[in-house]
Amino acid sequence: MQGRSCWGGLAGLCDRDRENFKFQISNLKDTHTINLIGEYNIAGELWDILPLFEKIGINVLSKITGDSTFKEITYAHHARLNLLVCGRALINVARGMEERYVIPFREVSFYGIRNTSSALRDAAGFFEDMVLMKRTEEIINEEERNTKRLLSSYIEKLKGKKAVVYTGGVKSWSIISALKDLGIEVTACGVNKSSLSDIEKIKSLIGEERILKDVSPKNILEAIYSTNADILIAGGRNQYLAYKERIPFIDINQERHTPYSGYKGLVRMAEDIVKTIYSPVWEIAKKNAPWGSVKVSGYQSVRAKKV
Amino acid sequence: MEIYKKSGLSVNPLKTSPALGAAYAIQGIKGAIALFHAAPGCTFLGKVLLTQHLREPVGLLGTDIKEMPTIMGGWDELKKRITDVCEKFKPSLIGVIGTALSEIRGEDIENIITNYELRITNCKMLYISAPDYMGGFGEGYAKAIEVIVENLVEGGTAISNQINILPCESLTAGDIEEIKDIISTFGLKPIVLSDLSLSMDGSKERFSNLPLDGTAIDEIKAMGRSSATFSIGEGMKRAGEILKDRFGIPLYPLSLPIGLSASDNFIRCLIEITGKKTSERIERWRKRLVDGMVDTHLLMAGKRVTLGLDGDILAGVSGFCLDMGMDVISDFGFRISDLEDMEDMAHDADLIITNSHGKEISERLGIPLLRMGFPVFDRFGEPLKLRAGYRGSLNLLFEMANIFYEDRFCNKR
Repeated sequence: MQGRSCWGGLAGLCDRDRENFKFQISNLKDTHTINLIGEYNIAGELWDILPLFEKIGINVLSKITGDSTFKEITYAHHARLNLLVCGRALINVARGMEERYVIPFREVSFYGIRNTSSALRDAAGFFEDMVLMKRTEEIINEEERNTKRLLSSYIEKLKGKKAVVYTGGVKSWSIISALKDLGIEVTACGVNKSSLSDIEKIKSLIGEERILKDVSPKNILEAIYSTNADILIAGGRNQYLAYKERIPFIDINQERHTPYSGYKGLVRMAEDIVKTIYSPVWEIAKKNAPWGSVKVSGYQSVRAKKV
Repeated sequence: MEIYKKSGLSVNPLKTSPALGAAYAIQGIKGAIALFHAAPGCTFLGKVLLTQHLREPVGLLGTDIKEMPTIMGGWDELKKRITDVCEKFKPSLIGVIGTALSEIRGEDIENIITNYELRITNCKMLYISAPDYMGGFGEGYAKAIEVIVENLVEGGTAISNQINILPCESLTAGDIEEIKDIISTFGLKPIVLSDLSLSMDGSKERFSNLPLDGTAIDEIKAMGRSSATFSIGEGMKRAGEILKDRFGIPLYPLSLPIGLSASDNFIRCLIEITGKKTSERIERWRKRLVDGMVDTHLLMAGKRVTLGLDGDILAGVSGFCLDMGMDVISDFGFRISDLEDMEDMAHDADLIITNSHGKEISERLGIPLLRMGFPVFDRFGEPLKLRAGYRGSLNLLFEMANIFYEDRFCNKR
């Protein structure tokens, strides 16, 4: 008895909510509405992106599925445009919504200045609203200027640094572009977690010869040593591969704890790369105990040969 | 170091009385008791602080002089108190500590106790002058050790594997035990003055005002026969020099072994005097420390830390923080210090390291506090905390890193 009344109450709540949705949706019909598909709010990245859309006056109706609710996904089909952030995982959702609800999608990325700006531009351009587009340009200008100012001290330190990148999906090419924004050269990039279209984009960014098909630990290290890279940028699984070999590292995958997307995120990424590359611990860790003999073993011997 | 002092007024002083430091040193000597020649309040509050920090019964009594003896001289009170203490507790040593109240009058404690000692057997009596105007906790501690070394140590034929360790006041019972362990792996027999790891480690199983264990008087006497002295901390150098001048024992003045390079230095000295290799265990802990430093470096880099600590431990911790790429925004030695000044400078810090008196500052500013130094009265286990040597440094590093981990998502970037 008690159980039934409980369910009854829940159903009533749903009815009321449905009325609310109708009201909200009718309100939103004529405005500029989008969904973010494949944005998972890693380490709070979404919260750096939403304010940008708010500023330019685009209404993000549903996030699929970072910081989202069941409720907001149920009215996702009322949006006019889908922005597909992680192309590899959720392309089917975007295609399905295009077929079923005739909502077009654009593949975008929020890593790096250029990617973020063009994502905002794409979204604004879609609505063919001159006022919106003008405002977007203004905001992009302001954000870029601000970001470049914040980045200047880091870029100075990162000039000429080299990185080996191994990540998957949208990140594989968008991170390369973000690193370019910071003045870092990508000397090799692992691709076995990327889709074919991702690989094409990577090729156009760094050239085919820098693509790393075999991403065994040994091969990653080879790539780092042979190109004299300063840092490995990869997922958490490879963190201790780098640390054990005393190579600076930042974690770029979904398990990480620092948001790197959007304009603010790029500044954080630059800060973290500077922090790890310039950390005094590498010098300390490479030195043997002041009484011990020099031991060269394992992968370090590979390095000794190369250098 | 630039001295930062906003005003002449001390609002939340970092400095702790040197008399308390001297009493703290006495706690590591078997059967010893400290006696403040002071008003009741001096002893009472000092004893409260020592007891809260050590969480053990503390051997500290006072002569409880009132206004007349304070002005006219407290000879009779001192004599009476010494007689009482000897009868009641039968201590092996009484450290009579001159506090600011008695010292400023110029009380001739030395004269009283040297003339009086003749009538008391089996109890050493030492006069330790530790008025507030001589410095802080560390100075008082060092002064007590100097007096003990000066008066009790006897010479004799050298014992080749015996070594003197003079730890400074910042080393906890846990630290001292670790240092002793490391030294024993080199086949040496350490005599530690004073050995809080035996007396203030919680191993006392029945109530006693006196430390039931610790450095024995006979051991102190035998310190003159050791083959080397390690003084740990700047303040302990002078006591080591006394041993060097008197008995020709070579002195190795070391800094506090906190952080990799300071710990390396300590081990290197041991290798130098013994000619032996390091043990597997030491090598292993060194590797673990280096590994921990690499693992935590990104989290630590650029973190701003404010240190409100005493001289020796301040140098050790700030050196270690700099090795980790951290930013030491202000450090406070006890001479200059007022925690209020630290508060003014700590607004954009990520971490405050100071004693328990930093709690309110931490709360007001919303910055996490790592408790270290003296006194720590709102945490358990402080006397056994290990933060020295490779193992201890790793503990300290992880303590800091975990605070930053906790704080990560509300990071003020």
